[in-house]
Amino acid sequence: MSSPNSVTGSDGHIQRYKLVDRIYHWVMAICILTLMATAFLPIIGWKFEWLAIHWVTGLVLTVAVAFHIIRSLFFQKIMNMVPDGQDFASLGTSRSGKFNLAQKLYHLAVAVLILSAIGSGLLMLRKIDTPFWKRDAYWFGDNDWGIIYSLHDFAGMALITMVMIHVYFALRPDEWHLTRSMFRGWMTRKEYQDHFDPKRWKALDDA
Amino acid sequence: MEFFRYATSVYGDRVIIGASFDLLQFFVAAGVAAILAHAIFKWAAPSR
Repeated sequence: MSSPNSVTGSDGHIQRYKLVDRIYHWVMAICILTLMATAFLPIIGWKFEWLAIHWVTGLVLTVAVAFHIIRSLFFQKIMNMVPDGQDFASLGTSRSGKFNLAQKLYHLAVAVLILSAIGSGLLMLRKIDTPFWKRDAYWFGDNDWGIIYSLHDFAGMALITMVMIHVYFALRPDEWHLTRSMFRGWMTRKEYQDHFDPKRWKALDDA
Repeated sequence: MEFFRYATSVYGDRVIIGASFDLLQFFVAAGVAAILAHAIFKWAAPSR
């Protein structure tokens, strides 16, 4: 029988993502898609009242990302997501640690973009009226606001590229073991043995 | 094509107000290019 901290069930399934991490992923996905739709659909001609949906969703994403950062720093093995020498040494092989080099670099790029969008977005909240405060357009000078808005815009547009790539990989048949695990949390022992190096991702003591 | 959007301030200066959304198509194209490049690579590479 598996211990409470074990990631292998009695049925031989290997736990890859805990429920809380899957909930975070899908909350983040809904937020990102909502933010992209409310940001870019009006630009390409689909006019609707997008602003309130956009900033409220942005705040939800901010809370979710703050939760993820705290969880990854203090309750998970953050080194699972940091590129290291073994990632480069295992390039061209079929088995990796819990995350391969491309996944780590992708995560790093998305983290930079989302933190840029969140940071600039929080500052941009000062320029709109909300139930909590009145707008103050003079918090920064014109040029400073321009830089903040540009950062937000570039991060948002770059996230379109990143989301496209993410969805593409999620739909590729050779990556379905990962996609399925983001729904149900586990993968089969065979999938684990085929795709992962047990020395680098120890299924018995990892989470 | 410009990288930024501009406006004229109350003082008559030309100021940046954000990134140009003309760039949107290039970010979409970059995504398509990356996907195609990987798909072609996987199709052409010998399977392990």
